[in-house]
Amino acid sequence: MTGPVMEVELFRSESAAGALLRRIERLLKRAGATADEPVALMEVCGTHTVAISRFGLRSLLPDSLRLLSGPGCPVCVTPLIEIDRSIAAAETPGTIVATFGDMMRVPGSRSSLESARTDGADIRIVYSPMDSLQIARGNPGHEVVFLGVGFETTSPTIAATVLAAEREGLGNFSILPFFKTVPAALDMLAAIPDRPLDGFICPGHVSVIIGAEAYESVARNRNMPCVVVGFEPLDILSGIEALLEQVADIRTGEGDARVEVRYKRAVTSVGNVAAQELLRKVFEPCDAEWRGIGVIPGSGHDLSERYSDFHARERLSLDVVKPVEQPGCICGEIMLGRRLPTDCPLFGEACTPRRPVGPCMVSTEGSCAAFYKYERNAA
Amino acid sequence: MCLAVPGRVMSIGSDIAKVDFGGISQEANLTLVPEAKVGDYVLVHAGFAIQQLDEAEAEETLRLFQELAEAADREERETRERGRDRTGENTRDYNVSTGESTNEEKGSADGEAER
Ligand code: SF4
Repeated sequence: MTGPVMEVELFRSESAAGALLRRIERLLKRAGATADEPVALMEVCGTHTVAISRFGLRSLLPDSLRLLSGPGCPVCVTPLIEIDRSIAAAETPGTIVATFGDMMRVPGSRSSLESARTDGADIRIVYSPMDSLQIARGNPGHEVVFLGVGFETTSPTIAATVLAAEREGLGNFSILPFFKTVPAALDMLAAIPDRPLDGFICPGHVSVIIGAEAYESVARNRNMPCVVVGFEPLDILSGIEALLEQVADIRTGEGDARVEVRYKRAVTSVGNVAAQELLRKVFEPCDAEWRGIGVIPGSGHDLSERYSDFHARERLSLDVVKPVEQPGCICGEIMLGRRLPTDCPLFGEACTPRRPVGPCMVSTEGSCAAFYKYERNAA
Repeated sequence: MCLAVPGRVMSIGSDIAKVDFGGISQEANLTLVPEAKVGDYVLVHAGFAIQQLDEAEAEETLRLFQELAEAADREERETRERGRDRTGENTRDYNVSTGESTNEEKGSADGEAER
């Protein structure tokens, strides 16, 4: 088979969308949802956040369905102290910081990587973590520090980079790991008692790596429907449909929560085993702080003992004072599914993508930033 | 951050492949998909292919979407025929709401549940 079956346009048919929307309406009725007591579904992936906003899906869906935006942007949930640490690394003489572009504009407590670069720090934006090895080879007298931000989609690429550095004996390459892992966060989110949540739109590309079975325990132990969803409009509507089928079944006593995949062209039950092996080799699970939320046990990846030499803190002194978050930001409440960006008094006024106050506005994939860009007037 | 783009493997040299993204060709590291072959579709993220895409599954999903679309179009035609003499309403809209429909009670858009 050689047809261009991966063309995105094919996943955007309006008539199919119309049909899915009608099914969604019927399922919401069967679930007994109303505008006052809507079914609430949460996505936990910045790419979903942006797709839902960009395609205007909220305005197409009935008001008996609420789409919440969870902590799906790894840049946004990177603690302020780690941003300060990254800047401290960049300001250390003899150091080059290599990073994905998303990190550049995130404000730390005093400045950002972007303004540190303007002030003379050597900070290079890379497309792939492997590019930072090229920088290390070309600058043997410098320490090259890669900022390790990301979920399970990204962390295997950095694990592979660390292994390549080891193989090559590159002594001047290290990373600052801020990696987050999704399943433990979902479990924490599912266990919050004081706000309604009926199911997870599980992140498509994280699931490529970890596999759909990683959500089994959340589905089973929390009776929380989990559907792995792709990123085109039909993928998303189809995922919502699958979630609502489960919600209606649960509410009518006809079934229990389970894990389903509606992104089968990319996601299997077991995931990418080669990538998982690299993760296990180079990293180990750790407790991690999610900005705006707090520490979630077992929700991060640190370098394993064997690779701990690759931690930048072994090579540089990165002591920074614990910074204080700006008051007034309700990002934590938004990411936990209690509020929407438009509920924040600072939204669009004191807090904009140009001058972000809180984490959800710092990256284009943050829920406040996506709302600001695409749904400000609709809201 | 988790954006990944589908492309087609054009050639492979050691662990680096040339991948075609609709006419634009870029290199991608194959460490995470050691089994990828020339002609495969892969998802590329941060310079790495992270998954081989399953074309048969993609076609199955598209076939189900297509069926949904056809059922919706049929329904729309019927609605239009029923209402032709009464209103000139535009039914070709996301929020088209009609009565009966075909092919909607059973099955789902992307195959059965994962077990
Ligand atoms: S609008 Fe700004 S201050 Fe308000 S919750 Fe969002 S990021 Fe925080």
